[in-house]
Amino acid sequence: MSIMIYQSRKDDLRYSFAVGKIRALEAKLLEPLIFRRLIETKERQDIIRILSETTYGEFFKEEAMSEDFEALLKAELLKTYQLIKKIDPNPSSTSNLLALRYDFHNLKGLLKSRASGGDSESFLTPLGLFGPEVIRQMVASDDYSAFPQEINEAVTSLIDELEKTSPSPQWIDLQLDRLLYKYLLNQARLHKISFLVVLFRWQIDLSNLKTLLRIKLMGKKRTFFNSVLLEGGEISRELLLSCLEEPLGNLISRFSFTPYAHLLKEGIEAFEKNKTLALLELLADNFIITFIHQAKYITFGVEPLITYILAKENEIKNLRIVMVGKQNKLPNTLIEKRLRMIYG
Amino acid sequence: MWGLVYAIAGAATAVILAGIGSSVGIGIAGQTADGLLSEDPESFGNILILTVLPGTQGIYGFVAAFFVIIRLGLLAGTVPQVSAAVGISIFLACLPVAFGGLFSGIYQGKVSAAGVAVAAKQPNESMKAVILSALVETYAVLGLLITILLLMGIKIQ
Repeated sequence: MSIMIYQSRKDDLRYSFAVGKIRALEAKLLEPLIFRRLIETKERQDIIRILSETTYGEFFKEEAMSEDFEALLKAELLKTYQLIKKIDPNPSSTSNLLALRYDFHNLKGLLKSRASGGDSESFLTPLGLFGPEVIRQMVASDDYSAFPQEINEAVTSLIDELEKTSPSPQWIDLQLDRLLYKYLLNQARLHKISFLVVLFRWQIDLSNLKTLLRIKLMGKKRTFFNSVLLEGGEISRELLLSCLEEPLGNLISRFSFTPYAHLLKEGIEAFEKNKTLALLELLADNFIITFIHQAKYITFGVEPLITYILAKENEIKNLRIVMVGKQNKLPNTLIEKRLRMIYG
Repeated sequence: MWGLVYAIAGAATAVILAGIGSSVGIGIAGQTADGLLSEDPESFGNILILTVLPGTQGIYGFVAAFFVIIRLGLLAGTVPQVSAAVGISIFLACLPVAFGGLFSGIYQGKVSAAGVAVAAKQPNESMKAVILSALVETYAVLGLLITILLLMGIKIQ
């Protein structure tokens, strides 16, 4: 599968240093061989031994990290974001946008737990442009003015709506995603980073397609679907809405003109068989990884930085799949099947 | 009198433009190389040649200008008599190395910077990136060659 939609633009020489650094860091990303070795381990101790030969090794100086893999993965991701922030000549248009996704993750957790009275602490991540403390204060005081104006207004009006109706947690998630992606897409367009525009638009489409299938499975109404669709993707709202009533088998042909035709075919067939989106999610992740490979051919621009963050997130997701799989004693072949495509 | 002015302007143009090409080229390649070194200082040996390559254009400009100086006999201490036509000829003869150096220097810097990715991923293959970067060099060399042949062909007096 090859995707060449994104076209390169004028060289941006401000990124010369950063890209040199990224090239060195990319060479240190975990290779498929490491994942194969990790999958074949028998003991927890073996995982630690293999990882300590890699960039993750430095964390094992702290005793706690070898006990808590989740903390290890978060620490690595936090390190990645801090590093990119340091070398990025213009972080407001790039790494900050990607970091904002984690603030929204925290915001979702806090708002949902406020609505349902559940615990949100375990849900919070230390990542983000603002960080969990700031977000917690925002939610506690219902003051979102620290966010950019556009988000502040949208979140405030969303909170008003939350208080009037008591919507499902899923609705809160999707509404926040909706205003997050609207903002991200606007910013990417404003800064003229077509790589990000394409990336966000595809993520929006893929998210909408997943929502479509989930809603079909749950049998929710058209009005609900209409209210949670993310805006700005390549697939039109009308097409998505019209697909809600159609049988699953038809969907493949309805989307055959999109770049997702290939992954939808496999994903929907698996969904029909076992009613889970696992394969579609995997294929969607692989689709994005295939896309970001293009940044390998760009030396003067922000693309390699964005790609490195996404590749690191993907690597951490893969490590989590291996570790959770090992904890739950899943067969090795199953863990291997669930791994995302490795960037490299 | 004006002949000498044109001739010197030619020599200066060769040094200045080719020098700009080299500075910008090394500037670009050097920054990218620094990025790699900041993570992996041991790769210095592999990327040194890549970074240095765009520097040759400046030297070519210098050689051309020096050739003009010799041809005019400026170092002899006497002010040579050069007609305006000869002066302009010398000026024009300097342009191939000047512009060839300016553009090839910048683009060679870009190719070298891209080659840093090869040195980072597969250090053993970094010579291949050096060869690709050296391809750009050809056109600076051709520029210098023509400049020298032209300068040799011009009858000063």
